[in-house]
Amino acid sequence: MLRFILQRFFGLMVTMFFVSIMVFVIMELPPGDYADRYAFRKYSGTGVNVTQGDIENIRRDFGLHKPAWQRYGDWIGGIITKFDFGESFAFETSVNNVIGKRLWLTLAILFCTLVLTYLLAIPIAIYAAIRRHSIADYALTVFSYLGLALPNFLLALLLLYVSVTIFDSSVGGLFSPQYEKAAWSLAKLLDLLKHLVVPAIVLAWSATALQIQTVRATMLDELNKLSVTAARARGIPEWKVLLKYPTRLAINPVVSTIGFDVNRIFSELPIVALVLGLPELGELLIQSYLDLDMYVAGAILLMLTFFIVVMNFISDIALAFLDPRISLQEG
Amino acid sequence: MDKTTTLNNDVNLSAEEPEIDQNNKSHEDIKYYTASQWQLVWWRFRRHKLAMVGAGVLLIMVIFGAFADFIGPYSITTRDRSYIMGPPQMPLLSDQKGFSLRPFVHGIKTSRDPVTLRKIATVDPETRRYMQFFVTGSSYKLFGIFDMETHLFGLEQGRLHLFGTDELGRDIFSRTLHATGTSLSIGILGVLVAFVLALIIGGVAGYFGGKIDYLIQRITEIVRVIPVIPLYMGLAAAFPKEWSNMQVYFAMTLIFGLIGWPTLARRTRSHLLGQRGEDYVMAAELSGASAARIIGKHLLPSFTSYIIVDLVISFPYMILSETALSFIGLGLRPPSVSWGILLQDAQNIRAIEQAPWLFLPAAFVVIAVLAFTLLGDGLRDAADPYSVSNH
Amino acid sequence: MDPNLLIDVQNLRVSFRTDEGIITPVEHVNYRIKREKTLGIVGESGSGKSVSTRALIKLLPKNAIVDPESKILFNRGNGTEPLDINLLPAGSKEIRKLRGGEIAMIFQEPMASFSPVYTIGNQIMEAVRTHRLSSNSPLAATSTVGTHISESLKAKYNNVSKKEARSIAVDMLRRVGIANADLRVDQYPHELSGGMRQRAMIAVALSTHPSILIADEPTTALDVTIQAQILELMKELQTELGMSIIFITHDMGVIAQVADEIAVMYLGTIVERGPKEAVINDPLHPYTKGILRAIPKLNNLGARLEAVGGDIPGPHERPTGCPFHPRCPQRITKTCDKLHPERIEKTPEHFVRCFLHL
Repeated sequence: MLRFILQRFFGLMVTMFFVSIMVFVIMELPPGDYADRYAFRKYSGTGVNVTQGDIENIRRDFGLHKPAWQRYGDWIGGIITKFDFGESFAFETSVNNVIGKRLWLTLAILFCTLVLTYLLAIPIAIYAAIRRHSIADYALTVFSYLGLALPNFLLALLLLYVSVTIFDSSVGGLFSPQYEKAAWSLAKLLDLLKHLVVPAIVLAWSATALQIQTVRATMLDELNKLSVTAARARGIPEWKVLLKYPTRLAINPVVSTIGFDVNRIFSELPIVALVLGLPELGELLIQSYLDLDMYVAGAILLMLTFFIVVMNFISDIALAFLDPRISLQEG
Repeated sequence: MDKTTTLNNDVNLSAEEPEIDQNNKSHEDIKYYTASQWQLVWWRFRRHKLAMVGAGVLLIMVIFGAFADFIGPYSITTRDRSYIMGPPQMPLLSDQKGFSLRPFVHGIKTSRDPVTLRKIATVDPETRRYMQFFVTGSSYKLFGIFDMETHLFGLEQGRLHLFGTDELGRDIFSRTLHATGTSLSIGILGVLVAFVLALIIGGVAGYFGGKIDYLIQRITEIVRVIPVIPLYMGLAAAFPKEWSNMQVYFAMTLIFGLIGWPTLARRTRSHLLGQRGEDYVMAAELSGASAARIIGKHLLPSFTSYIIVDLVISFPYMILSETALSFIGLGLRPPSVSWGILLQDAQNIRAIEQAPWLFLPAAFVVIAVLAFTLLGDGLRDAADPYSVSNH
Repeated sequence: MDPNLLIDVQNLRVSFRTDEGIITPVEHVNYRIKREKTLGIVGESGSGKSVSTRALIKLLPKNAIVDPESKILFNRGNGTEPLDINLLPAGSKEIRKLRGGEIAMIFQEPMASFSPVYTIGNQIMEAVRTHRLSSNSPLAATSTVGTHISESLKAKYNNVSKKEARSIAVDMLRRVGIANADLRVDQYPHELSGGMRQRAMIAVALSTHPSILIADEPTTALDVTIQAQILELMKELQTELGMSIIFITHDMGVIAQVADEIAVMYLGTIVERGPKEAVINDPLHPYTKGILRAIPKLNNLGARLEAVGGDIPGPHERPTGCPFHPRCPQRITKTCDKLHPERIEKTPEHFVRCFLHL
């Protein structure tokens, strides 16, 4: 088992290495470089005449005159050794400062969404599979189609509209005004949780629809297995048969797709965050792309991907524990 | 599996009385057994009512998009200054004055708000404006070739806004039709690019195999780890600001194709590899068929239907990606119209509070994605006509 | 009821509701199982042999309907009234006690009948703890079915401890001939070979000391040599534990080895039933004769095998009259295709449904 974990960990490192190169390429893609944009941003409108020499100086200050592979080395080296993601010119401070607590809010949103998705999808899908062809089953099929067809950001807009017109209150933001600047307290945490409900529902929307489909399909497969009939033939009570045999196996595909779900949530997060006004990484990512603040964008893209890769790693290992057939083949 | 049949004691049950077989098979069975694969696919697809609905809806959307200039009464930039942020107008057949065989809408009266001095449009139930068909309106070039001035419908006097107007007084219905054309065509082009790339790269991987195959596999795996929309956004952010909308349009289709091909290539590859080991391929080889004949006659037909299904299924992702990118301002930019751009107007809460009809283009997005999903599901089931349906 | 009889199935009729209407794959089925004897049921796939035995423990799909007129009598002995299993509702506690407790079952695919994510031991212990009373319980000696003990008393003494269940599991694995049973008990099904899995499956079934074992094609998926071992094992355990066996197979050769009595099924009815020697040496029904002729003889390998002509019809195209008449070489026109043959008693033990023996 240890060898299996080490193998997977090595895979994680290799993936992250290649991902970091891709992220770096994306950071370098926009026309012009950091120095140009820095100079433009800093001096435009101030009347100062920026010469080519000034830009050259800025370039030297930031080490931008070096070849690309050296700059990549500096960038990734700073991240690994000092956890330093570079400078944000839009905010004129370090990337770490800009990201700050947005990271934890992002993770809080992710966590709430995942919990909500699994709490909803697994029992509902199992119920639908057991009561196959019932009205509830058909209703769920319709819902899962809708879940796939109605993009999350449209759902967010819809919920905004409903909350404003019917409840006369906004669902945006992560904190009520009175807690915005307040120090952390139980009340503030509760306030945060209250505000996390809507984003979590919006983000869990399509993930839940998708998971219901997968779990239901696996469950239907498993229900027809001979092992279930064999367990019934042993006189095991029906509820125990269902829980111990098909349900136990229907959990496996859920575990194996945790990374995929995180990927999906992070993919949808920026736009939902923009609509709902959530101060987290996705919204900042859009802003930094629009400003071409590429160190911030790169840092966020790297972080989001890092969480996905870590989740993949965790789900691989969890699956090996859950399914005895896996560790035998590869460990 | 260790499924060794005990030949020596097995009850042999080979059929030796063909007359019984023939009598029992009804006419329909014979038709079924002699039909070609594509006939079977078509019969099976027809049974999926929802997939047929999906196909019909998409056809209507394509027609809407292609003939947007003709069906839409106004151009995407025409501004109706007397009807700014006006709600949708529903053609009526009756009002308190009685019935009418010709559909009409009530006239609009504009007045100024005494406090804010803003123009307010109010419905005047006293006047009727009748609808006319094949009216002459603003000139346009259909498909960019034919000079035309005829529009499908209009009002005899004043303007008809089926979906209302935006804050500049532009007709949302006409704009939505044009946006349908843009968004669908980006989806179609994106899927085509992905398809061509998948065939080329998948073919290279399959042909050279070994290390190249392995390398391509690893690269696609790494690309798939990065969240898709943030990745698209990163690539779209790199578009130079001075690019024209046409350039952005093609660049976007290219990006969608570039990111979208691995899924297609993987499926094509795995279908090929899976079919390669099937008994019927072995049987064809043993009976002396050439490699070209096996691929052309046996392998390709076995998965062209799957490729079509995969293409249809990848459409919604392309459409949603385009909508999302344009929505946040990283995709197409005004004055072009696409579903995402139209929805930009509905981005802030004040706008949707005052003018919920700005949401109407969203219905098109949802319906299009739903139709593609239904169509894809029906096709997926029909694609394998020999499998036993579990419906 | 004859004390020698354990099960008496009378006029069993099972239908299924399907999208195309109601089909009745099993009709006019009568069979009996004697104590400590083996009934072999032979027939092609689709002849209803699995359905008619699964009806004993109501292990049928939800869309199945067992005719309420049918009787499935279970003789509990001790001079008590026989229990009509057909009167018990499918999900009831009584049925669950019968399943695995009194009537155990093994299946064709040993790999598929185990869940891959639990150890062999886990699945044996589950059966043991569901049915067996602790050995130090005062109730252990009595049968679990039909004895009306107060529930509270049962709750106190029922359910073997985990430790005890484990030692029963190891012991059972040893008895079915698995070496290193104390290690095997913690292994997963995929870590065992095909023959060993079937032995383990038998261990699960017999761990509760049932009075009947239903073996549904238990050797079909196995190699011939392993098949012989498993058949041998089942015979040994039968005498050791004193149980009856219903052995279902399509293989006349296997039946000849294990059965005391043979029932030949065709299209949902038993066309011939009798002691093994009588059926094999003096077959009455043309179908029985047909499948006996289809077995290759070792002493006459050069001879051409005679197959039973035609195919078994699908569930929607059941012939009228005698179900076998379209394939029967000796059919009597205007009789066999019109009338359903009644049971004809050749000897008191040997029955046939065929107009040729009127």
